[in-house]
Amino acid sequence: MIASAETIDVGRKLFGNHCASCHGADGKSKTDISAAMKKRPTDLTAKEMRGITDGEIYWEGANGITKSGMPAFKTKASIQDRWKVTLYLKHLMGEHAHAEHSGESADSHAGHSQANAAASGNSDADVRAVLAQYTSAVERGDLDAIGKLRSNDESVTVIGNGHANYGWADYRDNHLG
Amino acid sequence: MKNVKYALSDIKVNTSGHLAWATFKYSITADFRERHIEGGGMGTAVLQLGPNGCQIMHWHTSSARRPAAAGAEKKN
Repeated sequence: MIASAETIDVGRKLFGNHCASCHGADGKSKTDISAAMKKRPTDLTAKEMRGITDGEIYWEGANGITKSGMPAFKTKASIQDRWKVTLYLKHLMGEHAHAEHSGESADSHAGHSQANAAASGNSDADVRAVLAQYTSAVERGDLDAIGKLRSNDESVTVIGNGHANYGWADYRDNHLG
Repeated sequence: MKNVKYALSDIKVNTSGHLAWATFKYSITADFRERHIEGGGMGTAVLQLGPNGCQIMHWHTSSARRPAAAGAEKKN
């Protein structure tokens, strides 16, 4: 997904509708609601947030933060909308999302951000994002998305219940197909 | 298959260099032909962090043992 003016603006509106009541429209979490909360929501513009990966933002938005009471949006917003909010938050932080110039789909976005995360050693959340993208693609039966998330060569192995598929083509044709 | 619901939980991630691995529990439900399928178990995924981004290299799932049917005889 491209971090364009359009996608960022959609993300801004989604953030305003679903997140701003606690985080504030400016992301600084200075709202009446946040002031009344036992654990104050994170200031999304704080310097501690710098360097957070796209995948981490996406994953926390999708899964929520149980201890703080932040709700999960994986069943409340589409994958595309969750990525648009991610792009907006990167914009709000004054950073550029890793996929800014990739032109890739939302389903492959996590993989690209992961390559950058590997260099920074901050990849836990991105791995989780890839797994989340994968299960979502399986639910949709989206073979293209699954293929992008799996190594689509002969080195990939899939073992389930005592049966193995060797290589993407074998798995695609004889397990998924 | 229709109405597929596939979810992972209790995900534990480790990374080292350009490799990452995760263990998880999974559950799956789906409608297949005339049957409703429900299953689950545990799994391991190995991912490669390479120039093409993060990709799943290996995926191993193992379903939980089903409880013995009532009245079934124990086999040695």
